[in-house]
Amino acid sequence: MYDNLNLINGVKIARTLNPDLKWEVVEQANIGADFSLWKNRLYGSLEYYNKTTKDPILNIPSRVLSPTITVWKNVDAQIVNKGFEFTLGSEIIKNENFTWNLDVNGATVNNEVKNLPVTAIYSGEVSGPGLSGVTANIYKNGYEAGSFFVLNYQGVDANGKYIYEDINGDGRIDQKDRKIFEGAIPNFTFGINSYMRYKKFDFAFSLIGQTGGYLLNNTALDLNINNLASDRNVLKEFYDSGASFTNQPQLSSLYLEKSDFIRLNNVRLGYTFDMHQLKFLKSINLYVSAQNLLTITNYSGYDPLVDANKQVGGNQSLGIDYTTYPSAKTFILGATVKF
Amino acid sequence: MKSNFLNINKIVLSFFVLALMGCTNLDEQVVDEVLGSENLADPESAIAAAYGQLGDGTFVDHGSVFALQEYSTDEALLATRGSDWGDGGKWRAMHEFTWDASNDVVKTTWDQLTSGITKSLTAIKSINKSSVSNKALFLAVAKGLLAYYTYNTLDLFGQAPYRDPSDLNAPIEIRKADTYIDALITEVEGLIPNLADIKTQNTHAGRFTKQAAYALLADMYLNRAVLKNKTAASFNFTEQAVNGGGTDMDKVIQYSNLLINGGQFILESNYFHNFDINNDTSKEMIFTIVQKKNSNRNADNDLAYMSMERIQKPSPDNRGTNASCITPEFYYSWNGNHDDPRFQRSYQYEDGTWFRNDGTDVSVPSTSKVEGTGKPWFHFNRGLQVGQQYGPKLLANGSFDMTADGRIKVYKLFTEKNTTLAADFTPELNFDNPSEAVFTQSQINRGVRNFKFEFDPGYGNNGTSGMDVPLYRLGTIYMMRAEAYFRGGNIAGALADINILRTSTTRDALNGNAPGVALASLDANTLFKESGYELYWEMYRRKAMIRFGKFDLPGTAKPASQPYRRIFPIPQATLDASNDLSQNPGY
Repeated sequence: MYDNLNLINGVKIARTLNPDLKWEVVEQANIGADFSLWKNRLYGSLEYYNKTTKDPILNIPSRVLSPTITVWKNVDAQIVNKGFEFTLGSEIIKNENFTWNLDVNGATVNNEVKNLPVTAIYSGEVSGPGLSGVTANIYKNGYEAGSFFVLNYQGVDANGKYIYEDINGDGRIDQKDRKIFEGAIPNFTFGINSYMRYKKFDFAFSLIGQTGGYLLNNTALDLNINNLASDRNVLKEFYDSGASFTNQPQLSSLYLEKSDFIRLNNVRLGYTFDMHQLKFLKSINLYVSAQNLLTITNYSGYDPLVDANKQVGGNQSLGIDYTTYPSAKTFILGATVKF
Repeated sequence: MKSNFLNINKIVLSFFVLALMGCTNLDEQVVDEVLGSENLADPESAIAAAYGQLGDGTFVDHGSVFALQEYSTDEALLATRGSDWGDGGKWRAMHEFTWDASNDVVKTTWDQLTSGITKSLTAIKSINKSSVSNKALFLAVAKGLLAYYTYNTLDLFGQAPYRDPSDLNAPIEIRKADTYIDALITEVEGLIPNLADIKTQNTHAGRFTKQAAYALLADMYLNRAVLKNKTAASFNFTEQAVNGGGTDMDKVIQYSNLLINGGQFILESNYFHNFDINNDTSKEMIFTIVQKKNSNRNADNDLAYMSMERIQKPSPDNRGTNASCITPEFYYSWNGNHDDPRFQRSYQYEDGTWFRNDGTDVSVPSTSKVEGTGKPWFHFNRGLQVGQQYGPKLLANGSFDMTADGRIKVYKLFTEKNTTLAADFTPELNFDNPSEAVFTQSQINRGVRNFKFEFDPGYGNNGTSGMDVPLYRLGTIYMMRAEAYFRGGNIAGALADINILRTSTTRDALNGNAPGVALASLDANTLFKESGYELYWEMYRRKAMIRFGKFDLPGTAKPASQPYRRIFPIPQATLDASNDLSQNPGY
C-alpha cells in the first residue's frame, strides 16, 4: 500500500452472500375432465389450472452496507398463473378412402405478481441513443409479470409534438407519468391440427396463434421520427403521423403493439407408393412440407413470437423486440421408407 | 330411442387434483466459494479496495457525486440534446430540481458512496485482525477513508449507515448529519497522530495522509453549520468549534494554515496544469484519485469527455460526446474577468504554432502522437470554450485531413449529428420551454463547454484517463481560508487570499504570460464568484451555493426550490431493502 505508485491489487466481495438461498417452489393444482363421444368421433378435455411459483429467486436491492447493491434472494412473493386449457378433437370422416381428423386446443392465461416485498423490480432495458438506462418492464404487485411501464402516448399536437398523458397532473411530462400497460404474456393461445388422407395422398397442417399479448417494438423506437434530424432512416408510419422531427426519442406506448397472430405453422403433402412387389420394402412415402409458411398479424415487426434478451441484473425481460432476425421459413422434400 | 349424447356410460370421466412440491431439502455443501468476509485477504488488499471505490465511478464519473454536486448548480447542466441524453429524463432532473427517490443518478451516487463505507469498514476489520507492521497507520488510513465517504454521504443525503466492523452481526446504525458531524470531526482529529505526512513512508497525494485529514477537517468545519441544520434560513458559521479553540471559521483557518504554511505545496502558475494528464507533477495536490491509463485500474475521462462535441477529435480514434455545458449565469459571472488566467488557455505546439480556435488557424503540426496508437494528437485549448469551434477533419479512410507537408489541416466545425449546424458554443441556451433543459436537434450546438480537464486520447480510448482527479488541492484550501476569514469578519485577510489565487497564475505566452489582476475590494457576491473561478467543476459548487444562500434561487431551467432539496432523497430501492433508513423530509 505504502509503496509509491506501484499497483496493489484490491480485494472485494463480488457477491452478497445468501446462505438461505433455496429452490423456488412451484405448486400446481389442476382440475380436469376428459371425454369421448360417438365412438371417438368427438373427444377432448377441459382443465382448470392454478400454478403458483413461490419464493421466486430474484436479484433485488440488498440491505445497506452489503458487499454489493443487489442480492439473489428467494423473495417472499408469488407469481400466479391460472386459466383453462381445453382440447377438442374429432374424427370427422373415417372410411376406406378418406380420413379427416381435426383437433383444436387452447389455453387462457392469467398471470399476476403477488406480495413482492419491494416497490417494484424494473427490467427490459431498451436500446438506442438517448435511452440509456431506460427500462420497459415492471414487476409489481397486482400486475402481470413483466408488464410494460411507459409513458402513455396520445398522439401529436398541431405542431407535431408528441402528447403524453400527464398522469400525476403536475403540468410536466416526466418519468412520474409512466403508466402500467398489459405485458407480453398472451391471454389466450390456441392451435389447430388437421390430418387428411385420400387414397394414397395425405395432407396435414397445423395452425397456432395467440391473442391478448403486447410487444414493445424497440426496433421501431430506434427508427423514430427524430432520426430525420440527423439524416437517418425513419419509419414511414412515423413520418406520416405528422410528428415533428424535433421530438426527442422517448419510450412510450407509441411503440407498444398487439402481438395477436395466427400462423400456418406446418403443412405437409405426401403420397405413398406401395412396394409390396418387393420383398424387402413395404412402402415409400414421398412428401413436401413447409414450416412457418404464413403468419397473419398486425404486428409490424418480423415475428410476433420474438423475445429479445434485455434483462437487467439477471431479472428477466419480457416481450421486447430489438433487431431480431426474422424467423426462418423451412421447406422440406422428403421420403419415408418402410421396410 | 336412446340418445347417444346422454349416455353417461360412454363418457369417460377423469378427475384429479394434483399438487406438486419442489424439493426443498437439498443440502448444499459449499466447496468452491467463501461465504462472507471472514477469510478476506490481507489488510493491504482490503485498503486498496477502499481506495479503489473513490475512482470506481464515485468521484470520477460525471453520473455520480459530480452530478449531485455540479449538475444541481449553475456551473453545469446536462440537457437533452436532440436524440441524445434524454435517458428517461434522469440528467435533466438533476438540473430542473425534479429528482426523486427513484432517480437513477441519485441511486448510483448513494450506492457508490455507501459501497465506499462498506469497503472501509471491511478494511478496518481486516487490519484489526491482522498483525501487520504498519497496523496503526493502516487503521488510521482506513478510518480516514471511512470518514471521507461518510462526510460526503452526510453532505449529500443527510444520513449515512455504519456498522461496528468487529461484529458481523452488529446492528446497522444510521448516523445523521446534524447529530453526527461533531463526532466525525473529533474522529478525524484523533486520527492525525497515526497518519503519515505526505511523501513520507512512501505516500503521495493519492493516499489519506495528515494533509488530506487537514483538508477534510477544514472542509467539514466550513460546512459544519450547514450540516447541523441543512434547511435553515441562515447559518451560524461562527459557532464555537467542537473541542474549543475558537470558532468553526478559526478551525478552517488553523487547518488551512497547516497546508498553506507547511511547505509541501505551492500554487501552480499554470492553473490548468492541475488538470493535465500529467498533473501528478502539480505541486498543489493534497488529496487526489490517482488514475493511470492501464487496464488493471479504474480510470475515467468523463470530466473532459462530457463537454466536448463529437466532431472535436483529439485523435482520429477519439471524440467528445456533446453532453454537459455551463449555464449562462455562470458564463456571465466571468464578465470583466476574461483575462483571468483561469478562464482560458491556448495550446502551443512544439514548433511554436498556436491553436487559436478563432478561424485564423490553417494547420497545426502532427508531431505530437497519441500514446499507444502513435496517431497524430490534436490538442484543443483549455478552459471555457465559447463560440464557433475549429479543429481537424476526419476523412472517410479514418485519418485526419493533412496538408502536403504532413500537418493537420484545421477546419470550421459542424456538429456531428446535425452536419449543417455550426459547432457554435453559444452562451445562451434559450430552451424552447424555459423550464425544460431540452434542445432539439437543431440546437445541439448550444452551451459554453468546459475544457478545464485535459482529454486523454491514449490508446484511442475515450473513456479512461491518466489524469489524477483532485479532491483537495492548495487552491481549494486558499479558497476555504478566504471564506473563513470573510465569515469571521477579517475581510482584508480574505481579500489577500483571493488575490494570491488571482495573481499567482499567469496566462499563456500568446497573451504575454500576463498574471491575473488583483481585486481592490471584496463582498460576499464577489467571493462567491471567485470560488467559481477557482474551483469550477471540482464538486465544490453545491456546497458553496448552499453556504452563500444561492442554491434555492431560480436559474436557467431551474425553478425556485424548497430548502429540503439541499439534500437528496434516499433511493426507494434502498428503503425497500433496509428498514434501517427513513426518507428525508420533503421526499
